[in-house]
Amino acid sequence: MLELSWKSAIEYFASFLTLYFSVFFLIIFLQNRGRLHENPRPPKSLPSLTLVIPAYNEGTTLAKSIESALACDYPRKELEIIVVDDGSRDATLAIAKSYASRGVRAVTKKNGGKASALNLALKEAKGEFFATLDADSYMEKDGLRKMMGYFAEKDVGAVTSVMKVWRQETFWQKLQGVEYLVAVFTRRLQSFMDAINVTPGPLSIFKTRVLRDLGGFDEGNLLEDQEMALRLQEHHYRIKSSTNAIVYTDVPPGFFSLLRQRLRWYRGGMRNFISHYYMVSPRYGDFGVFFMPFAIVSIFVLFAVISFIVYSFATGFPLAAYFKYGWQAVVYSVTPLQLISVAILAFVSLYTYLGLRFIEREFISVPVLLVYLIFYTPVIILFWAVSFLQELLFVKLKW
Amino acid sequence: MERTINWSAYVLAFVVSILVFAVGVLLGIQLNQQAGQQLSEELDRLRFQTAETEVLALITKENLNSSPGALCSLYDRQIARLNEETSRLGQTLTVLEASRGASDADVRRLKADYFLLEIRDFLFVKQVNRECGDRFATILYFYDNSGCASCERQGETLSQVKAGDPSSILVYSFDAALNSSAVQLLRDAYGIALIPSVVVNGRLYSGPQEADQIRRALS
Repeated sequence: MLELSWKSAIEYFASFLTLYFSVFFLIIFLQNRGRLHENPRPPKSLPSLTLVIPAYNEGTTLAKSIESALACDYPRKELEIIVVDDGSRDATLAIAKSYASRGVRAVTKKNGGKASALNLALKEAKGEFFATLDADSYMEKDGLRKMMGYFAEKDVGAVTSVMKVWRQETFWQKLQGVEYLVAVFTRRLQSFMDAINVTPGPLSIFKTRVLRDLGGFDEGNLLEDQEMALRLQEHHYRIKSSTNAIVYTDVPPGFFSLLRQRLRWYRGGMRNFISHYYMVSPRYGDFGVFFMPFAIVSIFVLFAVISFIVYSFATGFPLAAYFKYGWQAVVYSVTPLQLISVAILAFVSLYTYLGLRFIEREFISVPVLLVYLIFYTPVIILFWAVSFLQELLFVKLKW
Repeated sequence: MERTINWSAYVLAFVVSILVFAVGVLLGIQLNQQAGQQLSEELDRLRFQTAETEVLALITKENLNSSPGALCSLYDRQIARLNEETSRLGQTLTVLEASRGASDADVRRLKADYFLLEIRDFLFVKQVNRECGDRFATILYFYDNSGCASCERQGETLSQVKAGDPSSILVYSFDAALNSSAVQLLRDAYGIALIPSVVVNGRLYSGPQEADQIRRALS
């Protein structure tokens, strides 16, 4: 029969949670598959909007971001563009100022972080709506206009966009390309449950009044875009997810630059979820009874354990047993946990495939999918585990 | 904003997950039980073949018309075949032990049974060597799977040596950590104090041995 030690009991429990999470999202997909691509029409008369580009040492990419903002089809008289230089030491401010003749306002401040740059712009913004565009991101022409349709719905505080990776030249950039698409799919599903937990910096639109009522962005926060989303949820504002407003963003090209980025994201995320622990409550609907508890539980690296179990079937002992002893040895070495891991892998693969089809609407090659699932996902979970350990040991975060 | 909770999704996800989980667990247990049973049956079959070989030998000896050469040819064929099948079974047991752990009850029972079979084979081969001249080289290998860093390396070394002449070099491996009185008697008989140790053609070599050392001991 099944013999349980403490170790295997924890492994079974964590496996069940992972399986549950995968199945749950697939069910949300099935429940909402008829409206996955529905986006409300933008209003005929578009309201005033302030587009803010916070920048710190972004001399190499800023011009392209500003050009994309200037090229958008939002009515020029309703669009205010502000570039906030956060005390850069390169040509960022000079580049921003060079666009003054085209109506771009450049302001500068002492270095204080992205949130402080956004708050400066928020103080001076004239627009009824407030959009953020990262200085290494480039939006499509009709992105802003398409997102505005969501604000006709009641209580909408923010709208997110479809983030895609701009340059997919390196091995790591290609994998991040897949990851970002799956994240958009997940955010879309979360939006059906009013459970979005991040308003990504590359391109999001907020109601200016709402941001001011909430006190602006948290200047001490590592992940101010996520913290703002949690605060919006806390005050019962809806966050919607557009599926046709596209923004392209630059991503880290290599392993170590990716690691540095993710340590900041995940450590910031952990701090945000822990500090909002009180939102684990039915008062916040699905966000409070499922997404917040799940986010907090996942901090405790259960999924690092799961990734080891899930991927051990594909890369570990049974395969080694096959090559050494033949097919029969695989049968002898398979455990119940490994069979469950196969099921988890199947559900996760299906979810990823659906996510990619949803966004790209193209055939996705099996090799890319396999590398993403079998190699990249455990690497990301390993980053998560490293982040957790660093938080636990109070390791100083290096930007 | 009015907050809602999608209870149907949570319940449905729970039901589906429980079903998948249950199927996985039950299938895993079934496969495990089947594996244990198959190994038991394999052990029974080998035990039968060993007994059959012994009986064939007795019949051949009793047959006054058969030459000593006929008996030794019979031994050559049967022992080489038996040893190959016993080695294969041993490998499968290794896989099972690595998968389920050394403390698994089925693993311990099967190993104890397997070691008895090995000891019986070894004693039979000793008798054959006495009757037919030293046709087979025997290596008794005592190891311990818990905390013996050099044991895995020693096992690989012995596999290398056996690969040089697989039909004549017979390796019998015993887990010294298993509580088997037969294995303990064997250890006492050869004075095994250190793990790993090998007994090559009846001579003890304590501690890990390199391939060349073992080949020299065999020659």
